[in-house]
Amino acid sequence: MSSGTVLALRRFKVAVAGNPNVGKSVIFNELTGGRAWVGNWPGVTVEKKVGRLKIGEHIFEVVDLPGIYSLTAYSVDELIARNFIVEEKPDIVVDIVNAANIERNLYLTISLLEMGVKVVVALNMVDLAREQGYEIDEKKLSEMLGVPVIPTIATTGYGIERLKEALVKVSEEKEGYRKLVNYGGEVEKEISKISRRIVEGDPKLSDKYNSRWLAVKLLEKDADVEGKIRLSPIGETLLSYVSEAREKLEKILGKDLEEYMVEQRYSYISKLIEECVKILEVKPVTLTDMVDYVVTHKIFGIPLMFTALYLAFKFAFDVAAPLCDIIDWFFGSFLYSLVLSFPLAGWVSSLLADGVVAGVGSIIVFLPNIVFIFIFIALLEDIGYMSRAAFVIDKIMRRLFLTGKSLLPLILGIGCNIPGVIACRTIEDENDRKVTGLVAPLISCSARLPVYLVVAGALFAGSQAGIVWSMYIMGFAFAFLMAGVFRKTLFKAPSGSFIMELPPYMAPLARNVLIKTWERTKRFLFKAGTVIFAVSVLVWILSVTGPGGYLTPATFEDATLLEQSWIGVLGHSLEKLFAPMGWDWRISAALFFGFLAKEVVVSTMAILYGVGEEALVGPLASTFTPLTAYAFMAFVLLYVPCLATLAIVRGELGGKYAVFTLIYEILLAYFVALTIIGVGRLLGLG
Amino acid sequence: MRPTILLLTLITGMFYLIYATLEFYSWILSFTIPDYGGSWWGLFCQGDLGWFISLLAVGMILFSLTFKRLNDYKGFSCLLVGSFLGVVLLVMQLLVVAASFGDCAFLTLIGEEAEYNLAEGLLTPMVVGGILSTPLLAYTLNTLKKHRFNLSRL
Repeated sequence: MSSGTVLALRRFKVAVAGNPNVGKSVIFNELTGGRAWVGNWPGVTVEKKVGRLKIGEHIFEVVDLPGIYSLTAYSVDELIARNFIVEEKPDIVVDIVNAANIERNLYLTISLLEMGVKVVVALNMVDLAREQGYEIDEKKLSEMLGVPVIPTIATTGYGIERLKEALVKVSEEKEGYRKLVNYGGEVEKEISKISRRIVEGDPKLSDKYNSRWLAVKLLEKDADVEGKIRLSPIGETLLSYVSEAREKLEKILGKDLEEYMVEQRYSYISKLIEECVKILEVKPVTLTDMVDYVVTHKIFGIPLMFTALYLAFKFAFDVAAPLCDIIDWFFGSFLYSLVLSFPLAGWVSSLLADGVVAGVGSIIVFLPNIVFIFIFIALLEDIGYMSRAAFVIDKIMRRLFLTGKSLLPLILGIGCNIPGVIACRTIEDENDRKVTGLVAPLISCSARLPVYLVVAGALFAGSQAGIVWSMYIMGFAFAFLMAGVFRKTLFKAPSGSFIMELPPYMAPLARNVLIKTWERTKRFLFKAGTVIFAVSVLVWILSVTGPGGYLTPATFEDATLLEQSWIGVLGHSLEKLFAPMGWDWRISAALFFGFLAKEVVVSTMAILYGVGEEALVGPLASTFTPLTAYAFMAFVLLYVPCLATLAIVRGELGGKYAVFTLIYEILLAYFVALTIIGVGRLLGLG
Repeated sequence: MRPTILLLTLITGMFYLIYATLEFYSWILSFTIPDYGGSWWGLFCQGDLGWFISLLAVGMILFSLTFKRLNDYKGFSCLLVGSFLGVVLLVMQLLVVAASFGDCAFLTLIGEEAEYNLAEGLLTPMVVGGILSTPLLAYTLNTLKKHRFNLSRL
């Protein structure tokens, strides 16, 4: 190319699809260089990850679709993925197929082909397939499917360059050639007839959607597609025709049509496997089989799961401790003194030092704890342990009217309740999804952690990790208990079945773990820079003003003066409510602001006691007894989820469920805190 | 499996089970004796429920070898996971000791009073159990390597 040539950039939209745990995120990161931005899927508050890949004059906008098994409209994730493909019309779909579990994965591939999109298959984990004793002839598979099939090993980067080349090649092709499932004479005849009716009756509709796909979905009684057809001028006529056709076909076939079509797809997959998969030797006992024998064992499984969680906390609290102390010193001593040394007006100095530095600093000090716990969780996820934990606890969860699938949202909730509630969309059964969504905010998230650490540090020095760990156990216990209550009262229908694929164990990739950790941590940092900053300033303003007007920053030195501030008034009015627990007005005010974000409880206490996070130990040790402190921690665990979580509950489950969550959690927290104090006093514990 | 390996596995498993019990006992005692830190046969038990479950898990897995056929992959799986977990507990405890030591050094540097008893961190069941587990893990990994990670060839 001559130096004077100007490249005409060509833009393409690429969707990355695949079953959960097939290495989708790793391939997405490999394609986009790990640089992604986050948006929301249209109509739902579910995160959408988008990245960019530039090859010569080709610019690919790569969208990471949720992990799905098929393209039915049964779960929210599947609907999101399907709607993206049919409405946004990506130029290419990269379908990640797990070569070590090809039969199940190919179901999604043929569903994608039926939608009429251009597909590139990334046949991932070919090394594992070989280890399991079989080899896949990718050329033959490519011929039979009519699309490029590229063998990859995402963890080593093998095949990624070929995948990029395939993207460029396919983007140049006008129409992808593909072979589709043949549903047999009578059914195929009806598919053609319905397809023709759509093309002739509503050309706009057939321009927008693949008419064969619409016909197949109508015969399968797909509610979402039926809704689309109903809006068409030929809607009612077509639907009544389809209904008659379905009845006729079911009579001929002697079975449910949807069931028949799924069977046909699987028999097509069996044919593909017969032709393309070569068995090298009898299935050996692999490392995954060996580890799974112990990890999913009915006796060893549960203590192993608790051990994994305990080690995560040990890593987050004890190993991160020096980093926390360095940050605490930086904010509490260095920055605080630096701000006070500036020649500023008294109120400005106080706002910056007592408000912003004390408030935000008291939260940032927990950043190492949060980063470390996210690193450990990302490691467990990447190794493949998290799905085993769900499997192990499934039996117990069934007794509590939930399924093993509910565990993943609950475990994700340990990081933050928001992804926990969002993850409920992977649960197909509507009642299971709602119950899990309602109890997910009871799981102890990273925002509660600063509260526990401060209070446990003040009252339970020496057994801090154990006390904090007990909060996490309590969160799970109440989530299960409330799920049982909701199942017995509000959602009485039987629970859905649990199908979960256990991925092979893999060595974690440092890059992947770091990307995951960063994505989760930045939410915390964003909150520290926005909500916590704003609340710290608000608490400062409410502390230096009162019904009598401006009180000056002297309120932070003088407890009597502070009581005359707005925050004093608010705290005193709430204090009566918490009098049975023995919490003072400062604690009551801190709990009030904790509704905005749970971390704010600590920053508000730091401002109200006029000290930094570490110096809070003294005032808290004199405010609480071990018993009232433990009840306080339980209250913080269970009372209202933060504002952002409530907004997500509203988005995922609806407004009435958000209000319900708000009310039941306050009542539950109050009852539990009161019970702890009552029982503790009865036992003579304080 | 060599008899020495089997013997060492059972001794290690028993060691974990005994100290898991003592850890639990220390946890109970910690309710009545504030800042309780007990030492049993020279090893410190912190009275931590989390450590109790972790030690119990390793102990149960290793000790279960008594009830398995030795050349069966199931017995070998217990040896692999149990010894691996034992080494993980050792690494975690060493990380905790290093962090506590670093924390103490930093606090002293900024003029605060801080002290850390290195012996209490190192003389623990996690460290000693981890040392006992290391040759077991090395043996399992070597065996696996020899059989190219395919246990049906055992």
